[in-house]
Order: sequence, then C-alpha cells, then structure tokens
Amino acid sequence: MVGPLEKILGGLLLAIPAVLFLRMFLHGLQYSLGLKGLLQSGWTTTHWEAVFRSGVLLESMALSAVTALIVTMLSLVGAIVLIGTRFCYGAGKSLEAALLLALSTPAIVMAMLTRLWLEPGGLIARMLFWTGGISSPAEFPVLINDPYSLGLILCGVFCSLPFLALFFLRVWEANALHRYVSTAVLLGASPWQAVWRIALPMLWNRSRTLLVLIFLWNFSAWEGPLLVGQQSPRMISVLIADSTGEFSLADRPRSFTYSTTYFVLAAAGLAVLTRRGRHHVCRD
Amino acid sequence: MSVVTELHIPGKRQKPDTSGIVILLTVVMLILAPLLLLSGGTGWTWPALVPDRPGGMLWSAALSPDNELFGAMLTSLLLAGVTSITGTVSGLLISRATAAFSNPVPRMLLLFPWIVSPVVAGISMYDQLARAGLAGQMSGVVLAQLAFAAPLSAVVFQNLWSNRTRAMTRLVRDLGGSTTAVWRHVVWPAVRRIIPVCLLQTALFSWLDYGLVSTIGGGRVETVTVRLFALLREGGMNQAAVAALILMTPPLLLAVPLAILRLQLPDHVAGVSREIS
Repeated sequence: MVGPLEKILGGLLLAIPAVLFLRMFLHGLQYSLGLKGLLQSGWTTTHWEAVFRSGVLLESMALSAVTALIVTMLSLVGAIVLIGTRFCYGAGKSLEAALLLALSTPAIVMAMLTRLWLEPGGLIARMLFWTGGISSPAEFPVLINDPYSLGLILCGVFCSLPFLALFFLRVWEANALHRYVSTAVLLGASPWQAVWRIALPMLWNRSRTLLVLIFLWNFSAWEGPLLVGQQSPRMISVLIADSTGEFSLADRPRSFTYSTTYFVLAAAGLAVLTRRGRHHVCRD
Repeated sequence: MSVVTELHIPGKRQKPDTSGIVILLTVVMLILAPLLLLSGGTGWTWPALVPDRPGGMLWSAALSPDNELFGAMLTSLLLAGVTSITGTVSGLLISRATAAFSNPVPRMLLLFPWIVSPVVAGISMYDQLARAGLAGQMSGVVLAQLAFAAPLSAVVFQNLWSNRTRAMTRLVRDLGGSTTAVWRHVVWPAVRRIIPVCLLQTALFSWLDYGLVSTIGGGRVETVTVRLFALLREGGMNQAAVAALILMTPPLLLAVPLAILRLQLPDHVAGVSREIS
C-alpha cells in the first residue's frame, strides 16, 4: 500500500547510507588485500596473516568484549538496585531526575569527569590530601589508563546504567509491575524478595535486547577508552583509530584489516540482535 | 480498584522521597558540581580544590563572538540543524519504502548504524569522501552524519506502519484517494507526534558526535566536541569544563521538560526494542 513514487524516493534516499556503508566495507576489504591504496601490491594475504600472527587484534577484541561484558553486567545490577530502591524506599521523581541528568551527560563528558575524579591529581586525591590521607599525587593509586580498566569500566557503567534504569522504570510502569510486586508483599514476601523474584524475571524478559545493544555499544566505545582506557592492549575502536596510517602509509592495510574484521563482527552482533525473539514478532 | 492500592504496602509514593533525593544529590555532586567549580575560574594547581583565580572570565570569553568555542558552538548548531532535518525527512521516506518490502532484511539492515562505531565508519569512509572532494568539509560531515541519522529515524518511524495504518491506506485508496491523500489522512496523522522526537534525536546525535566529525572533518570542521577534546589534550581543564557544560546544555534542556511531562527520554529506545524483539 505504498505508492510507486514513495518507493522510488525512499529507495533513492536509502541508497545514500547503503552505498556509503557498502563501499566503506569493500574499500577496507580491498585495501587489506593489497588491491587498493598508494602502496598497493596486488592480491596478497600477507596483511591478514601478519595481523593474526601478531595477536594485537585478538587481544584488543578480547579486552573490548570482556570490558563490555563487565560494564553490561554491572549496569544491570546497578539498574536493578535502583529499581529496588524505588520500590522498597519509595524513591520517585528525584530518582528519575537523577537518571535523566546522568543520561544527559555525553560519553566524552563522562570520560572527562572520570579523569577529573580519579586522576592522581584529581578531586578525590585532593580531598584525601586535605584530610591527611596522602601528601602527594604520587601516593594516589592509578585508576586511570590502568591495566585493570577500572576507570574505563566505571565510565562505561555511568553511561549505560541510567539508560537501562530508565528503561526498567518505563517497563515497570507500562506493565504495572507495581501490582504484581505489591501482591507478593501482601502475601508475605519481603520487598526485596518481591523485586528479586517477581519484578526481575519480568524486567529481564523485556530488556534482553537492550542488554545486547548496551554490550555492543560498549564493545565499540571510543571516547571513553581514548581518555581513560589503557594503552596496551587498546580497546578495538582506539586500536583502529590509532592505526590509520597517520605516521606511515605502510600501516594502512593493517588498519583496514582491523576495521574489516570489526565490521564483520558488528554484522554478527546485528544478527544476534535481530535473531533474538524473532519468534514473537508482534505488529499490532 | 485493586485491594493492593487501598492497603498501605511499601510502594511508589507512600513514603517521602528521601532515597531519591539522596541519589539525585549524589549525581549532581558527581557530574555538575566539578564542572561548575572548574568553569568558575582559571588555573587549578595541586592541591587546591577551587580554581586559582576564581571569576566568570571563561564564561564571558566563551560567549563572545570572536572566541573559538563560540565559533565551534555555531558550527555544531548548524550541523545539528541540517542533519536533524535531512535525517528525519529521509528517515520518514526510507521507512515508507522499506515498509513496502515483505522481507524483513532491509529493516534489519537499518539497525546497522545503531551498533557500528562512528569513528571506525568515519575512518573507512574517509577515502571515498576525499575522492568526492568532501573530506574536511561541512558537507562531507553532514553526509556521513546523514548516513547514520536517516536509518536511526527510519527505525523509529518503522513502528508506525502497523496493520491499522495499512488498512487506513487501503481505505483511502479504495475511496479513490491519491498518494497525496494517503499522506494527508494516514501518514501525517501517524507521524505528527513522532517527528519532534526524531528531530531531537538526530539533532542530539549530530551535536554529540565526535567520531565522524573528527575523522571526516579532519580537524577543519571544529565542533564543540572537537574543541572539548583538544582542550582535554592540552590540559586546559577550566576551559574544558566550560565546553563540557555547553555540550551538556541541549540534552539537559531536553531532559527537564521530559521529566516534567513524564515523557521519558528512552521512548525511541523502547520503540527500537519493540522493533527488534
């Protein structure tokens, strides 16, 4: 029931992103196989072999995946605790305002704030100085660009948690979870028990897709890792951005090997995202 | 109503909002306080908690037209305006075209920009945009942002094309209506209330974008995010705090009416999850 003119116009407009993304992928693939670029050598798989032999890409992917997984899980736990707080202690509008404020903070600013608080010369270190905890910045533990990604994980959680918690609040209200949980309390459950046993499974069922999205966002995050992440190994986006051949043209095929792998992974992520719950497609 | 609401069960709004206020104050302390503190002066030597020379000089400088940050703000606003309008309009048309397919694959592909890293996309798009003479130009950045913004809004509009709108379209057609009539009586009433959401979403995407603008802009398109990053690299924390607050203002301005009207922000996210699941 869509007119032919609409189809043509929409199709043409769809062609803009489609062509850009497709050519972007093909360009990277050709570059990584030595078929493009100033220093092209003709068909070769040496760049791919070198990349997989060196292990840099695999390390980065593992780091990104583990970091994203930890961030997603911590955000989930945090969001559940906040929802529980709302139910058990009656936190209302102010909790929502707090979440909206946190959600309005862009990733770059969140990363900057992480630095500001946790740097050796940051706010916490200064407060410790005035309370007599430390006497110089050098005594403050390294929490930024650290090997355990503590700062990065914290930054990621602060970016993702408000999102998830607000989504939970919406689901809670849209499905009147309050009634179910209150009934459980009426029948003798403790408030936290009711949240855990009744609300959580219902929220979990409805938020799985969003959790996959949050995982994928954190997997590809760039601004945060750039400012507070560790240098070796680097998160995948930082690795790709750092290796684009700013210093040497000879590095470019390697960089495109990374990005081609990344796009394949992203497409796999998309497949996971859309395959999940295909059984209950519901269009009113 | 139910028994539950009559009995005083620990629930939504029966207790004072103490815990919520504690959480709100903590978030304000963690996010807004340090930025406001640092932006209120220059210099920040160890171990002082406040800037060395307090005063509003950075703010008056940032708001004077010959300032770099002010210029960056105008560039960002222009980019956000152009991207949001073109992105929303093309998103609407794209969603109409993909709704015509019975195959779900085109609709799935629209989700690709939701998960792909803009910086990696920007790096990979650079060469083809450079060949077209668009790299380092506003137009190139707009095109790249459009490649993200249009599918983003198409996904939101996608939720509107239900069996109901399909039946309505058939009705208008059966009564002899043209495509114009379909748009007037079916499409417009359906999208009217979503258009502002889409405009704001795409404007925010563009306003907060750093990955695309820094790679495709190549340092020649200077937005607030680019300026903020440059300041952070140089270690100009006070000015960076000013830039960060400027960057946060539009999303915050958006969040306040949302909080009051109870139209919560992740509305379109809920829409997307519905679309996917």
